[in-house]
Amino acid sequence: MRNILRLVTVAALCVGFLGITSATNAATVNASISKVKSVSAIGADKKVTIKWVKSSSSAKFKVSGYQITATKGSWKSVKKVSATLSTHTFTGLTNNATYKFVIAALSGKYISVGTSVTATPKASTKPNSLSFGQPADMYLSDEDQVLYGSAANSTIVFTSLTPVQCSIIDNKVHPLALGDCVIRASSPAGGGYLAATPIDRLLTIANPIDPITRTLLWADEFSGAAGTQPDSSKWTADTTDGCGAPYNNCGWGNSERQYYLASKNSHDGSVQGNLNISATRQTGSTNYNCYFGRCEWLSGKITTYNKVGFTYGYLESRIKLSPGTGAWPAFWMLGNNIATVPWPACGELDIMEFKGHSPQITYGTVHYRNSGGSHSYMGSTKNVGVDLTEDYHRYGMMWKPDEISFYIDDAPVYSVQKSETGLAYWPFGKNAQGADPSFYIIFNLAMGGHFGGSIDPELNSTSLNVDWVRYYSVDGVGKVNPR
Amino acid sequence: MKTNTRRTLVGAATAVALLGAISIQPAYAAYTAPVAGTNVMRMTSPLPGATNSVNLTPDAKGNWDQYYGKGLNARVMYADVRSEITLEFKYSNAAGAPLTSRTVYLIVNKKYSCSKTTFSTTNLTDYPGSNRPNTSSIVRDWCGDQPQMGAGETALKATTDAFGKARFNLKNYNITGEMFPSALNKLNKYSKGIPCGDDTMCLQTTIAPSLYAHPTEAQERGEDKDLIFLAFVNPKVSATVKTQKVKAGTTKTLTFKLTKLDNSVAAGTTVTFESFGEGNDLEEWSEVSNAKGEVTIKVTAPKGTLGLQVVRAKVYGAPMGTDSKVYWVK
Repeated sequence: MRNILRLVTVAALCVGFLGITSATNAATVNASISKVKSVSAIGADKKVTIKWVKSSSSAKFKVSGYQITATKGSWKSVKKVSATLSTHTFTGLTNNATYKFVIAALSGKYISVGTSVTATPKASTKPNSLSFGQPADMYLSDEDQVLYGSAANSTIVFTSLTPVQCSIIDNKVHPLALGDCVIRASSPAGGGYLAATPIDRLLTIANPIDPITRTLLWADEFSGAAGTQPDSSKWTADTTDGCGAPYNNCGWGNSERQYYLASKNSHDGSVQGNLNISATRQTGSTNYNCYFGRCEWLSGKITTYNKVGFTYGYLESRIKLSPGTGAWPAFWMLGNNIATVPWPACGELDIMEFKGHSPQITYGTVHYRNSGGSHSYMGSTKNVGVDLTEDYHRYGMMWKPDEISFYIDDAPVYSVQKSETGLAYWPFGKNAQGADPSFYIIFNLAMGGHFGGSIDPELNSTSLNVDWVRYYSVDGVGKVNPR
Repeated sequence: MKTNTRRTLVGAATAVALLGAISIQPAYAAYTAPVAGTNVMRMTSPLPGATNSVNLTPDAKGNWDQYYGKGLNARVMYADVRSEITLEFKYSNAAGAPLTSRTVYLIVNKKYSCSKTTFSTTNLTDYPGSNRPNTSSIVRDWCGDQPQMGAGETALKATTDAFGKARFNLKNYNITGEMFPSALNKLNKYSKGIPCGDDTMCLQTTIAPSLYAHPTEAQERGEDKDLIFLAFVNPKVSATVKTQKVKAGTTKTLTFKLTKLDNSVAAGTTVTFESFGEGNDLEEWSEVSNAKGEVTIKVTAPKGTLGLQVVRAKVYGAPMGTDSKVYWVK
């Protein structure tokens, strides 16, 4: 009986399934060959991996390999692998379908009794995370811009959804035409992850800004000798607390705490050449009286009033602002017609105002008389993120007949159009008779007052330093009006 | 009178929209068809689209769209609670030319919108009220007939660049947000019987760009804009193993994973635990998610215990949680 073998012929079919090697031979089952043990099958996305512990060879039957048979309904695939292997992966399977796998040891023309296991391939279930950095807006002439993104499965694809405006080349966006370019980042399923929800980003493609032709028409570089006062052909020093003639404006209209002296405005004589307007707390050596009693501070103010006026164009000054809570330096303009057209109808252009207690913020404001006949102003601020008292910065104003724009270091602070004021004629453009306005420049260092606020009692001095002030016509528009 | 009607409509539309029930016809006030605005302002980052927002514009048409320009786009979008976000808008004229170097605004917690969000911002603000500690702080709006109605509306200020774009920073400070949505393009769902008006359920800010800090009705009608209902949501809490059998007398550690809207892990979030059914009391009632976004809780049961123990993990303050079930067996 022991020599009686249960002989079963197994016909392995040739199915040619996705590259799996087919078995075309038949083998005879021999129960004396040890069965394959500890067989496991793990399903993944369209595949199943079979693992087993290698069978032991006997003196009579040396294991020469393994035969793995996969079946699903009438479908069948047979794979033979060498005796050195203990794992095999079937790929290209159908997800969510249960497969039966039978593995048996081979020994020459004999085969062991099979050991079966089932498994079900399943699609990826791990959620994929995708990030896509916002690309910068571009000018049409710009070089291609690198796109940045990442995905949990490390697969990211960029696609232009606006192929007229832009294309994608090697993960860079290439501008093609004016308009909005929308780029989609996607991460398809793979690596055990699901497909990620795509992210769309929009960038605008514009024409380069037309170069502006600026022509320098007037300037003061403040390069005089140390201690000398500003050029009297250009500047006049306003003095006192504003109470007397010709100002008749105590506290300069803002309850300011300083008394202006011409001597507080002087060149510093440095290589760079600066105008220094110094403010000092009044000590016992002087005794200037203000509208509120003994003056607290002595400071300076210069203007080009009745010396030189300006109409439209671009005005800019390089300034290092005055530190200290309560300091209120300003670079501004008033209408030359202020004597006959009182403020605010004459107009006021505040290119830079500053509060010492907020040293990172500059203010740009326009003041005018509204249609109701009272004072209105429009303006804004810019927090530049650095202390403006620690270094020089450029404060500028682009002045067009119907639009005023303020800048710091070329960055916009505020812009206003005449139409926003609701006025048919504003003081910064042609008047009803068609005449252009003329404005004069002012530098001053006020202390306290409605805008400057409370002055730090520990503060005893501060100063405003002006490297230069320059005036340009812009594309031929702009003129200097000497008296 | 018209103002009150409009405010009610906008507030109602917001609440209704977030509940997923769409009201089409106004019950009162004659409808005035909107006309094209003279300026256009659209959100460009994040860019609202079919996969990341819910389009409420059809709900507005023929109803509350009359209070905006004809080009109104109304959308619901989601953000992670306590996240810091940057919103970018593009401002242009009707012809599409960008409005450059212009002071522009983003109005958040729009008055009468029932916005319940609290923020800080690095932008300058225009805020007419007095009930907040400093200029960078933005507090919630109040609903309906509350005496503080409209108190939270704040206009964030920015200046457009050469492309007509302006950016606004918002850092959310609410402790608990809304439920995690089923998808970014699906309206959030709420348990039956729990109204959206409940503070713990709805946490949205209604935001809109404008050329004006606090536009009048006429000014608002002159602007074609994106109106965004931005909802802040809690992290998603998932049980690593939803159901398992455990031998009584042993200890089992249950793990929950927290993820954000972009599927990245949510670290530093406080999760509370509750236990129902069999098993010993839990040794901890809360844990903060680690760098992997995971929280763990140990469960035990005396030998001989048979039956179900449900451990529920909730983001702190959230009304609903995620369960992990343990069947104690011999």
